[in-house]
Amino acid sequence: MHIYINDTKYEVSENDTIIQVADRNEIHIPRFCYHKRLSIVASCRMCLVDVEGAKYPQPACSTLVRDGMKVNTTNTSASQAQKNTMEFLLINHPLDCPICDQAGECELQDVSLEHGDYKSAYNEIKRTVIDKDIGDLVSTEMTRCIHCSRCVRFGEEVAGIKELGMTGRGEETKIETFINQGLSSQLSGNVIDLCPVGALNNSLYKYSARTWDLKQTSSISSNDCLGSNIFYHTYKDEIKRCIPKEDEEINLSWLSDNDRFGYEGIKSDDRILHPLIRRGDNLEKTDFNTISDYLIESLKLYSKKSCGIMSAQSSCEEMYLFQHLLRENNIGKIDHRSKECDFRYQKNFPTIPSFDIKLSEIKNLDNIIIIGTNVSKEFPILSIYFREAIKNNDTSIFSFATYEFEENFPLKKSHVLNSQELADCFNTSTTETNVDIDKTGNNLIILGPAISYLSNYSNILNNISRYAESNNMKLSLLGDQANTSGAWAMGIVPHRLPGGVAINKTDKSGNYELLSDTDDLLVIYNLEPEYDFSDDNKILEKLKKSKANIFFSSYMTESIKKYAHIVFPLSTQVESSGSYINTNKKLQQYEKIINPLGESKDGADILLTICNSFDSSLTHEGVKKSIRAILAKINVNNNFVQIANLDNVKNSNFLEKIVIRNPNSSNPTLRRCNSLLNTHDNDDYFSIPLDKTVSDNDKIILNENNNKLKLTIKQKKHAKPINTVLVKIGGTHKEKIGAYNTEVDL
Amino acid sequence: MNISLSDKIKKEIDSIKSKFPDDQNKSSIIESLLIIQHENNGYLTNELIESLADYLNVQKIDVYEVATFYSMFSLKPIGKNIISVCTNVSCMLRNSDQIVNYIEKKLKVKIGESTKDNKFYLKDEMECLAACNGAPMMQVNHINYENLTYEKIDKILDGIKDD
Amino acid sequence: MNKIIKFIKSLFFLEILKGLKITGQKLSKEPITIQYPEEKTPLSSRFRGLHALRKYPNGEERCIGCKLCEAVCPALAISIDTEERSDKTRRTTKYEIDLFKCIYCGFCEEACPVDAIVETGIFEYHFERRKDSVMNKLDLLKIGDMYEKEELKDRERNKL
Repeated sequence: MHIYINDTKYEVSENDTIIQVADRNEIHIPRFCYHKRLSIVASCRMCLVDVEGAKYPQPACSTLVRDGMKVNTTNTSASQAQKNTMEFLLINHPLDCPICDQAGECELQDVSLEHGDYKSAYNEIKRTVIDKDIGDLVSTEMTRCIHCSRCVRFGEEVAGIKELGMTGRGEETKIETFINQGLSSQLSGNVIDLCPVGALNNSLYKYSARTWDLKQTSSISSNDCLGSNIFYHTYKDEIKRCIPKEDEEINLSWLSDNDRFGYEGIKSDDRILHPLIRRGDNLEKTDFNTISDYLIESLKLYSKKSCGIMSAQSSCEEMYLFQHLLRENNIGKIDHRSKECDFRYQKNFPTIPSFDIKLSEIKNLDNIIIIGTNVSKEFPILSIYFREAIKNNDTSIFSFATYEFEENFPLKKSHVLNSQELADCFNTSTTETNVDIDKTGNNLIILGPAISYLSNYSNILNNISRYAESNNMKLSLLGDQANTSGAWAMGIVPHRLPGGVAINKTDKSGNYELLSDTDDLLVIYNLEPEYDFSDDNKILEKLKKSKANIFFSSYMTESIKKYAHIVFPLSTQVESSGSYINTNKKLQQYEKIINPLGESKDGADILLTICNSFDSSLTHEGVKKSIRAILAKINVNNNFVQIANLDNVKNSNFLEKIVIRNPNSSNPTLRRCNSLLNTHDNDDYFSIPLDKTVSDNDKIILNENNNKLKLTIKQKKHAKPINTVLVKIGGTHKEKIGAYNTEVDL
Repeated sequence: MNISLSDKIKKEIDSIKSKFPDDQNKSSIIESLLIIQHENNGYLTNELIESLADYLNVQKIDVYEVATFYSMFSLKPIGKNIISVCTNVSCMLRNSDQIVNYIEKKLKVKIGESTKDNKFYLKDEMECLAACNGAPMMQVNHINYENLTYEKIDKILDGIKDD
Repeated sequence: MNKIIKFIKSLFFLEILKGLKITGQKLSKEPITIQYPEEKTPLSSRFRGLHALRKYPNGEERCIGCKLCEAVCPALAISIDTEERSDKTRRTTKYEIDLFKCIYCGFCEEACPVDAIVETGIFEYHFERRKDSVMNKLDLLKIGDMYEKEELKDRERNKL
């Protein structure tokens, strides 16, 4: 089948529309309401083209091709239609381009210049629309709106929550939320990109630069393990905004709010700008040589009784160098799993945990079981794929979690269970599981990061793996940080070298404690003791007891101020270069976007300099080459983790506490993005089962592991899960929250 | 704040819902809103819209869109007795504009407003009520009055009790 | 033949007399020389001299920080930073013109959508230090205040 556009012949397929053929062949047709990933409404009439045989110009976005169709996009009929449409669109559009942030990249501006007329027949008063307050992230200038309805369709079709709507009629038509509600979707920032005019703007970018001044650099998201491709726009060495980079394998045209607005924190007052060393009670400025020497000496001095804990948000290069530095000094206790407390599974864990299937294959699945993750909050991009699957294949999605939440896609069934019930639910050896699905289909189980914080993680993992294997399902393991897969592959675990090479150890039980035993030297890399550990009491205790605490950190916290002996000022991800391995095992490089603040330095540079003091052969290029070689060798077929002779660690009669980690404050930089936290992470609460009561109404006192915790946050009650109290606190909070998962008394 | 709908309304909404496929709850919004508006002295409130959205399990903005789009829904309190004068072609040719002017003068309101004592509401944007044979015509509280004259209007409006 | 004519011309100083004729003519007329510091030539209303930032009659600065002047400036003499002011309007935090870079082409004046940046008739100014050549926002606004009357007059003249 073929059609002619402007007298040139093009091959087309059955269900193409004219605009799709034109876009494929780079023929320009002006448009506002059409977007390739949204439904077609043909409401703006900007894409009118002349079709031979048709009486009037036809909208290219909604006209299907016919064999031998002759289309003309530039003749008098088409261009006159476009000119007239443009005149109508400009009737109510204000002439405030000089102060509009969209100016320079505005579709209306471009189309007006190219297809519009320089004069208008309209002399009457233009309409004005009162701006709506729809949250801290998206600012509005609704007078500029041309009612293309892209934002409305985005909410309905992609984000799954219709928050913006088109109200009123005729001249009264407005885009607004229901009585000025704020946008709550984790994908809400995308309406900024979608808006062809300057009606919906980026609040953080507002009025701070002009589009033609910005320099665009591509990068990789550091906030979740999907590794979205992004562009940072900088001006005078400052990040002004962040937009998605199209990637058909990962983030399509979208970006989660964490990625889009997650750079605000890098300018926080907490940033550490100089190398610091302890003198008495204070940390004082010093130089890199002094603290590097201190580090090398301490490594030699305490080598056997040392421990290195690294964030899985670090790049592969940093990880490789970190473990190299520590292992060269005979330190084997290296880990990235600071939030976990059950490590019995580690011997059998895959060398590199992954999603196992390509994201684009999700749409062909029949059933998906999601365990322990609120996908639309934690992995918003993934939720888009789920919605597509439901639309495409009528996929049934089941959710199992430890607390109640809403998803932006319909769930076939959702279960709220406590940790013990969760393990039992998939136990193949006892009764039949609760999951009622067609086992012959193409099924997938997804295990979210929150499950790994539970104290019976190994049991759950074991049961689910056995369940998945016996039912011919695939198992996906989602990491809690951008480079969790990388951390496993680069050997940031005590029992494996890079590439998953097991370290021969006699200890077969897998009993391993990260926080309980004392170490003389602690090297903590890009983690904040208050927020990033499975038990803040334990890590603070450990810091207190150890003889030297070495921190690599971008931000200052109370505990670093109190316990650190030396602090290396680490640059944030945008200020350094490196690579991440995403959940699909894809190695993605990112470059430095802006210069590091103050004297802070790229972690890989700091580590390389230190490593070079005893091994001068290491170079950045060498490290990169090793990483690629390691990755090439890794071969993992599935994610099943089966452990023999596993004891049940839970006592179901006790009350257990589960801390709900906020996806919007999952790493040190995100915790300092105030606009983001105000919008998406403002519901701290403490929830107890319906049958329990708290004596004091203002504060809750929890007894756990001989510690008393006082919480003065909002109280709630829940029916499920039973025998469980839930705590959710986000941002940089002052309260101690204790262990992530433990037994407690009220 | 969420007002729960009365059982009577819920029952009526359920019967509307049954006319449409299960996953097409949006289709029942208009009819449900009409019922709710009728029960709530002829106007809708944000709380009612919210509770309908919850009941039909659709987004609040979906209901709000419908409520703001149609002129038959009012989002602010209006007079008890609704006067709708047809101003479409047939009635217009039979001088409906003068009828409107007369009522405006008589009630001392402009079209689209309620009287001060909240007795009457003169509705605007009234479309054809399918009684062209009796033009000019108006509808008061859903009852048609045809072949209007000034005297007839006086009689009809004065005949409405203060209740 | 030519030689003979040339000889006769030089014999009777004809060339000099020709020149003296013009001198004689000009002697009776008023001189056009201007005694510069004391006297000044009239300036065009469109003269492009020192820059100024204007204000509205109510004292509000006109500049909205659209950066069009910065973008159009062929000598890259203008540099601007903007922010959202507390009243939610777009305003500059920095507005600088490097007068050593400026070529006084007047493009900035022409690009300005709100007639904020203008080139006044001032052409006599000096700098005592190297860095003084960079005019900041306060300087420019001050000049704008001082020369607002002249500016309005110039605009009135331009209308005709």
